[in-house]
Amino acid sequence: MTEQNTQSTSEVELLSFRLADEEYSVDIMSVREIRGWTRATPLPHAPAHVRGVINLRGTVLPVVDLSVRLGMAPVEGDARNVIIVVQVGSQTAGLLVDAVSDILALPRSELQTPPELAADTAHSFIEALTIVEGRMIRVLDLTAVLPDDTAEAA
Amino acid sequence: MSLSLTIARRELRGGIRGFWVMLLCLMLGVAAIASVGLVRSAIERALSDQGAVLLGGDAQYEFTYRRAKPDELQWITDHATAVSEVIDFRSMLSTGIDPADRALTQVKAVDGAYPLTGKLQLDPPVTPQALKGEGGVPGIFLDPILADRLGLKPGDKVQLGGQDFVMMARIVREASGAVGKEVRLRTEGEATEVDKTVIERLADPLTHMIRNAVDHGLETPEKRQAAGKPPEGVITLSAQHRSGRVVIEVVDDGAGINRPKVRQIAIDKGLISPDAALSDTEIDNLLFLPGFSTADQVSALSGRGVGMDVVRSAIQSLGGRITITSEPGKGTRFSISLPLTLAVLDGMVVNVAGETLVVPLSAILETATLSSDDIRSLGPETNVIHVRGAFVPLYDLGAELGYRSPKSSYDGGIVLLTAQENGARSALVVDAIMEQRQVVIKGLQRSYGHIPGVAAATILGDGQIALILDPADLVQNATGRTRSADFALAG
Repeated sequence: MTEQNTQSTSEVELLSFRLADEEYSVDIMSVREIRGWTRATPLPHAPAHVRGVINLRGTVLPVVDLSVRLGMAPVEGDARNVIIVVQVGSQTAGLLVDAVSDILALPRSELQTPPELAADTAHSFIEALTIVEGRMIRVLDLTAVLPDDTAEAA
Repeated sequence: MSLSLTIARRELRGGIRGFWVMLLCLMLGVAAIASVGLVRSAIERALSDQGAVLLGGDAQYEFTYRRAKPDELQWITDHATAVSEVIDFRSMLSTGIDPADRALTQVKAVDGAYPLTGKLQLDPPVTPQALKGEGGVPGIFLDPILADRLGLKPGDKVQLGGQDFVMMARIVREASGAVGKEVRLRTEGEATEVDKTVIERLADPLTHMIRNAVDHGLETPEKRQAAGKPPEGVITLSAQHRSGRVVIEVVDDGAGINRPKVRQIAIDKGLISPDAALSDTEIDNLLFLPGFSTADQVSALSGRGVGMDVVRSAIQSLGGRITITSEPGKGTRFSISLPLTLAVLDGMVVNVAGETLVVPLSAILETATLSSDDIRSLGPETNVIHVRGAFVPLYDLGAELGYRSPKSSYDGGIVLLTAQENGARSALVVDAIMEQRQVVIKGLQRSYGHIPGVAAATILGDGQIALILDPADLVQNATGRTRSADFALAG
């Protein structure tokens, strides 16, 4: 979650979305907009999870295939997919996901820290877990998904 | 008040008796009302910004795919002093002689009350009554562009959905009566090239400025004539390149800025102190202050709370400047100056493995088509080409950028011969050369660090992003693989 609202509110709003039949979510405060799928221009020699760049009203927006980032198979990329434009710190990026499902408002107290399971790449990207109507929803740590340094790339 | 409407059908097969037909390449507007102030304020909010510009009356109702129901029409006629009903649809117009001579057109069917306000200028100068036609065949007015395209002149017969019409006149101009002003919009330098992204973001500010010029800048025909000017006001929208920038101007020949009034409003609104000493320019610039509006009355055209301050911030966000100059009685000029060189680069647009790339023109010495004689193998996986007595290393852009594996043969391939700073040459294989053009450089986000061989990106006309290559950097980081070990190349 972003720093500015960690302690200040007891409620948290999450944008949930589907990725390989699993439900994930991000803090809605970091979501700038949601866009339909457009073909991304691939970046040579970029990490596998970097799908490429798209034209977001005149600016060049990198698109991350969240599925690959979390260690799963790439998202197919067709008209059903959506790109969630998020901002983390000074960085703006698009997250390619299967579909956006819901906006959930829940008390912060219902978020649980995930248990430690070292064998999982996706684990370090998950900040919290919660159960909504029987579905487990993973809350992503965007600062881990989109590291702000350049060391990881290239 | 009489309505000469009887029936209207979207499909013309049943005929459209009771309606006169005009053809325009572009029109909007459905039912126009010349109404009283009372209805006006209620309807104003519902009026679309654009619709009002060409509106034939004080208010307009639009119904999609249907006409006004009797009770709706009744309400409108009860509140209005005059009502004119117009039906807009698209249909195929043909000359009836050659099946190829046809065009999809925007049809505007009008009633006897048309034009309610404003003017319709026709050539020959007949009245709208001419739409009754002659010899039992209804009449039709055509847009000159359409008439020229189909080679039609007044008196000719045309067919619209199976119904015959006789062309009575060309439409020279259909002028708006919305604000009781006569306006001609002139454009100059429409062909001036500006980055497409800039155009997109300019549209709203420009629309607002033109509306502003019609509404606040120009005087009514009576006032203009009293001032010895032609009744028709002229708004000129011009664009030109000037010392590395694009200058776009909106100029009206109206009354100019009423500086005492502007000053008074600024004082009334507490924007300046009553004893402030301001130059003319400073007063003019008060228009850019947030929430400023000089119109005594809010009109349908401008003055809906979006002021020149919004225009200015939109321009500034593009790295531009806006200035205002005005001369009492002569008019007002808004100049927008935008940086052309947001970072512009002359590039060659090429296609490699289905991807579009831009190579800076400055880096390209020449282009060539390879023949098998030119290509010599160097190592097991590398090739050189023989150009004018020198051996130049061959690089496959598609392979270097990871789009594909090296090709089996480069015979017939297109190469760009590039030079590095130290003079060393190299040949880059591309699949096709698309065009040469100026592109606007957009930075790639730093989060991906340095991509070898890629300098930046640009947005092409179709909205897609193309990468701009740095050939020297590409070559430094290149593998030079132009052969798989499996393939033997010519030479």
